[in-house]
Amino acid sequence: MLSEFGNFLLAMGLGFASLQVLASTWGVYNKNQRYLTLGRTAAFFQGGFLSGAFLTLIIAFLLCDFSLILVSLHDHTQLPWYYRMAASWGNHEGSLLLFILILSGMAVAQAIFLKDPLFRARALTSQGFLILLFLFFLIMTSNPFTLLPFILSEGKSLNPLLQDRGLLVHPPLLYLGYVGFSAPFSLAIAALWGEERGPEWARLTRPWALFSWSALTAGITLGSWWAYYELGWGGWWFWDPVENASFMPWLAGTALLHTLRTGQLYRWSLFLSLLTFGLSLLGTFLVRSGLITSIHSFAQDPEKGLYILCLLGLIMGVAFFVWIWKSPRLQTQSLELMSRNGALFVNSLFFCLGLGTVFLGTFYPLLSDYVWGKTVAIGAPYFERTFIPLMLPLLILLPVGCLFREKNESGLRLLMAPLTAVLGAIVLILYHLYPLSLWAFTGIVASVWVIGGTAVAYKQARLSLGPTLAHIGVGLSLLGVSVGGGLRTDEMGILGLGESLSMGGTALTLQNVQQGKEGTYLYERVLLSYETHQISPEKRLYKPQDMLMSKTAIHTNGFRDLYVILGPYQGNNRWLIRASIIPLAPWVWIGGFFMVLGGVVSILGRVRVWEKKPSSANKRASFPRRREPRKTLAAWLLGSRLGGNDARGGCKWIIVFFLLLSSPLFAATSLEKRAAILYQEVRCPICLGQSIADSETDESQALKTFILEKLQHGESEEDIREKLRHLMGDDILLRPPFEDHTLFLWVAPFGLFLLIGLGVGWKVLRSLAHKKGA
Amino acid sequence: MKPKHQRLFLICSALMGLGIAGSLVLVAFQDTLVFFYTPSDLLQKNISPQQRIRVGGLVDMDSPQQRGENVHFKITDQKETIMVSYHGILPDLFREGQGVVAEGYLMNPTHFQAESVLAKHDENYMPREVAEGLREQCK
Repeated sequence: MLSEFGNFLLAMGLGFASLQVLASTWGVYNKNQRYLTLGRTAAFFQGGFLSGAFLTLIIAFLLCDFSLILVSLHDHTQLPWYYRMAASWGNHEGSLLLFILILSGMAVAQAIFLKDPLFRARALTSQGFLILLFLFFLIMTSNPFTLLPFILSEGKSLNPLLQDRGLLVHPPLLYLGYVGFSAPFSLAIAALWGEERGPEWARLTRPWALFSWSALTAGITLGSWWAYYELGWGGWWFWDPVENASFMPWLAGTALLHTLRTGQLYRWSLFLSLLTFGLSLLGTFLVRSGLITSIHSFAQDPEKGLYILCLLGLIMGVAFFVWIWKSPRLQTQSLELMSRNGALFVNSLFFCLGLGTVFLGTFYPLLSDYVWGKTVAIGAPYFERTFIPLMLPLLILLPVGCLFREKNESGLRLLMAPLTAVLGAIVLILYHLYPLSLWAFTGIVASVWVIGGTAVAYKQARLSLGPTLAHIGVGLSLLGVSVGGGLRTDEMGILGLGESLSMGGTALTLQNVQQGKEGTYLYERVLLSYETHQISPEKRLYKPQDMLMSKTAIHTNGFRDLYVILGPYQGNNRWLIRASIIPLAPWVWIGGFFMVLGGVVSILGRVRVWEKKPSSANKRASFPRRREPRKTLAAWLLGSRLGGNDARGGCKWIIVFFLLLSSPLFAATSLEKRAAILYQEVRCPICLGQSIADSETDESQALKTFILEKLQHGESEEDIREKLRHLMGDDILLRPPFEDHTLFLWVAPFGLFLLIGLGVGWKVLRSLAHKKGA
Repeated sequence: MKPKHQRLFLICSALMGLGIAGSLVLVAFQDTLVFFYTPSDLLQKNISPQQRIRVGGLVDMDSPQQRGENVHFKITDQKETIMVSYHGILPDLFREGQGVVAEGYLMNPTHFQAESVLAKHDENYMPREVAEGLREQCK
């Protein structure tokens, strides 16, 4: 029964979506108000029917209607109701219906919020086309309401990895982000079609882009949080194709968001709008199609890959054709490079460069496989070596750009660049003094720089609250990632009852083991005590798939996570336990939350906490307004003398302050930790490919003892490295400190920065000479 | 600054950025590309123990042995098998007779030291490389 009803609703949705497209197009060509209104009404109707269809699917899942193929494949009567509901979008067909639902939701929102009837009709045409294409695809190839010729008494249940509360909201949020970018896409098509004016379009599109961006950010944050606690080794980003697929539209969307501040970058913003949605489609579907190997592709269906690729090609082909055809006719204002908007443009270029490397790394294996017939994999090291060096200059420029004036920036502010170079030098020096991985330390300094600079920009009223929060979020996430990644400790041990493992000087003791049954699984739970806390990792055996899953246990105090996972039973009442202490891990997601919050605040308007910002658009920049500096926490901490108008001074002091604050973190590095970091660098003489930290051979044990002894005698890391190199040859160190290509990698970001600095300096000199001549 | 100069400056810096990104990519490609082999390939090809590679196939029945923190198991493509050692806890979906991909170093022609073991999060899953490798072996 539900099947027929669902099919009926889908068909009605298809009909009204066609009506929406036809009536809107007709109305635009004849300038006929009645057809325009008809198109708008049709949008409401198709929205209603498609929501009905999705609701029907959810009801089928909640009621466990096993007459539907989809329900019998993914549902189970023993699942709690919320997992039964989540199962409806945890598969290919259901997720596609969710995709269409959001497309039509965006159409309804456009019908409500867009005021200009012609512009609205054009946007609705584009959006309606998207709905039609995907609805056709759904009905022809993957109808969720297909009937099973017989009725089963029990379903095959939801993949146990997806049986998780975080995952209830993660896919809908991510989809809201992906598909939400269809709105800027349609608005861009409408603008190209109607040859709208830039500034109005940018102002109009901003909330839509902000909305999708916030949803996508929230979705990615939740996904990475899920990976962190569910996948069992405490990492948050794997550079897996599925993750990259969500990251690419995020990068393009972030670039778009920054260009939408102004109408000066009109054509570029239009291009980015099209690109972002194109990447969303590519991400959602190419990975779904199974063409790319990923460790987590759920809801896959390889057969439909080609069809999807054609669909994608069609949509993007038409969109970019329209852009190439129409955009030269659009009016744009000229852009001054040395201004806030110029800085935003440079920012978007950086994002696009980063996007390019991620794109290449994600799709190169596919290319290599089809063109050269070689199967290759590209993992985290590739992205760490390309994406991060490219983003580092962006992070360094971030506060500088925020401080730029609207017009006629003198370029003096870029004097901060040398300051940055000095900071870079400090990084390198400290790296040699303290045994901390270079990336971790660079990350810490960069995040301090970003947070400090953002605070100063906010204080000087150059940033409103939304962007400030988002940029602080970037800094917090970066801090979490670099500290958590660089200073984590992992221990593994086999424990019997009452035995304990030493974690950072504190004992992790195995207290008790329980077994039992709950819902769809049987469990074995180990109770461990750490300080005064109890934590209990589990192993679960899920029915009916007979899948064994580990449930990690995490204890957090906001500044560090204790992360424990239960390994296999070792016999004799002993269990293998792996525990990690990850400092600042929660900040990764707190940062993500701040970014989302920033997005939301920006949508709600330029909310200011302390003072109303007077409009600065028509002020002459050469006479900067005297303004009472806003009191920020940083200004308060530094005293009124330092919290003055001088941005560079403020920034500098905040950074010095943060560096001082964080220095005990490095000074307190214990002997064992210093040794452990050195172990990572030394190659095991027997297994060659591994460091002695990972190797169990006698030779590496001997080397470990040697290193520890030397450290205890007070020798520095560099001395020990030199000794090892002398004794065992250059190859003994896994990471030769400075050599041809590594040198290039270390230096490239700074080099890039220097080049930009030189270019700007040249430009400033030229403009000075020009002024004198005039 | 004249618009002409500005455009020139922009184009130059964009090209420079592209160049830097390109060279970063090329350098990274040289050292971080990981090739995929089946156990039969490993016998035919001479792979240095310093090269990071991936080996894929099925986990041989009855082969996994847990010795404390170390695990040993065999990967097979139904023709050849290779012994794999791994230090740590295997992923939950690692199972006998199921597809698996191990990334690490080939110590000698019969022993592979894995640094990571990938098994997919889906009970019906077979990594594409493994499926294709197996298909070719069966021909």
